[in-house]
Amino acid sequence: MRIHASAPLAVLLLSVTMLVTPAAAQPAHQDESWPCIQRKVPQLQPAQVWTGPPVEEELRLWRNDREIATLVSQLASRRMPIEEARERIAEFAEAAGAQKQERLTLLFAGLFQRLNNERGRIVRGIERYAENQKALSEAIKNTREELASRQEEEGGAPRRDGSIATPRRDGADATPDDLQDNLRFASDLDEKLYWDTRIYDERHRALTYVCDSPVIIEQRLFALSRAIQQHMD
Amino acid sequence: MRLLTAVSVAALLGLSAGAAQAQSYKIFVSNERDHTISVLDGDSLEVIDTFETGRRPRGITKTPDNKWVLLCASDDDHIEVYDAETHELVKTLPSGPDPELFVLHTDGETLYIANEDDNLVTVINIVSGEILAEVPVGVEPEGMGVSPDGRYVVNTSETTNMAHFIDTESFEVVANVLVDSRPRIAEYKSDGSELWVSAEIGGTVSIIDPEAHEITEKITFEISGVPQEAVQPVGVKIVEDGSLAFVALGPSNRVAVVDGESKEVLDYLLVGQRVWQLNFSPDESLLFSTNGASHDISVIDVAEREVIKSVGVGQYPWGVVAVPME
Repeated sequence: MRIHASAPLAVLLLSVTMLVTPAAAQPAHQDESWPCIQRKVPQLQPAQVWTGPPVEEELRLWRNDREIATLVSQLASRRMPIEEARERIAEFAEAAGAQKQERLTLLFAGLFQRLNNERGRIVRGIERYAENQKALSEAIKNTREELASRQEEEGGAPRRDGSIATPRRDGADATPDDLQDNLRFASDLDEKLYWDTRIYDERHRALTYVCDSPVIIEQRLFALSRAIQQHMD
Repeated sequence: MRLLTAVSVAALLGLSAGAAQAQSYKIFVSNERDHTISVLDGDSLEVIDTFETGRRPRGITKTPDNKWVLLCASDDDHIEVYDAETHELVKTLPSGPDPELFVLHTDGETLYIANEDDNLVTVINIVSGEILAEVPVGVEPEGMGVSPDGRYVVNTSETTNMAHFIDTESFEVVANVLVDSRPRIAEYKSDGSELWVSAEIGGTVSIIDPEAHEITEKITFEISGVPQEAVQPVGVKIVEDGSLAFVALGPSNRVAVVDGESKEVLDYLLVGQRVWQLNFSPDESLLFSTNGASHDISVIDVAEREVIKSVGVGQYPWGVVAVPME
């Protein structure tokens, strides 16, 4: 078993700080379980990025068109630079000839559905992420309380150097085995507290990146929609 | 729907030719995430320079003589003054903590700064750098507008949901008007007859009688197919003769065109993502919108009410101002 040099007080302060930070960073008008500073928008609507013809029918049909389905897959991938995506859309528009309006609308419908679904999955993932963080923060709080309770019961903090803990407050001497058991148990709690706190902390640091993910998809969808609309009459 | 039509291209070329004959100008855009300002040429509408600023640049304006560009460097807790010609930093000015937006008084020297974290409006003289007053206002002050006669400066407070009228002689709040949730911008008509205040969460623009300090009308916005919670009014600009107004509607990605008299919404223009602030070209023929999430500005032909161009700038463009050049 590894004994850590971190002071229990520092751990406590760190975990308390982390527990309050997400709520403090959040706009007051928003779902409190949502951990991101960005407003929670579970699904986009076509009209947020599109002023072309209605696409209800196209949202059902685009997958049946092999050319569109292939192009949607390629354009939606972030591996394709946006400049290259714009060129591909221009080529597609030119090749569509007299069918340009319909074909471009179908292409938009495919891209919208594909990227909106991908974004929706990420939003749901962020919700699960937030739930896990909440559960972990609860676990940290419980461990901390149990550790504090143990320390109070034993009349002092368990020593990390393996020495015997102080006697009980009732004056009775603990047997060496009792004290060793107590010390081992307290060390296990300390170990758990350390790892839970570290995991929480690292996840918390990743929050900005996690929360930016839906935004990045939305940006790509908007840029592709704008490129499509530039070729429409 | 068309972002660039033959008509608008012709209009753009015509405007460019006209602008060349008249007065050239530059467009300065503050980029909140990059800590930079992008500078565009008003004729070509292309980025001609990008220079570093203090941290988190947001509010941006110019002096009446067009010599200086003033900038809120929010995370550096000061105002930066740049030479509009050379883009060199002239000086920094005290601002109080977290300056977000400001307005320059009609005297051209007195700057009223909203300190978002301190619930104050700080008043400074931009020539001497002297702090003239600190005016307590509501929680999270943001929007700043000055009456055309210079008698009042209006500040909006995001959390208190009020427009506070500050007397520019006494530096005291003399009236408060309760508006809808999260007021962002206060903009007077040039004749002083109306004050327009946008409410981001309320989704409205309140029209206030500045003398009676009463709301006379409210403009609401409905965009077919767009969730109502995405319609978040922020930036407001009204043309000089008061006949037309433009309202930036945040994550709906639209700018509303509003009849200045009837208050009827005439059109919704698709611009860029999370459209935030607006400003006119010097001759009011063009309107520029900063689109925070798509990292660009949109150029709107005011007469045609049409988006004619989008230009990439820095990350999270926030404010914009056009400055005539000699």
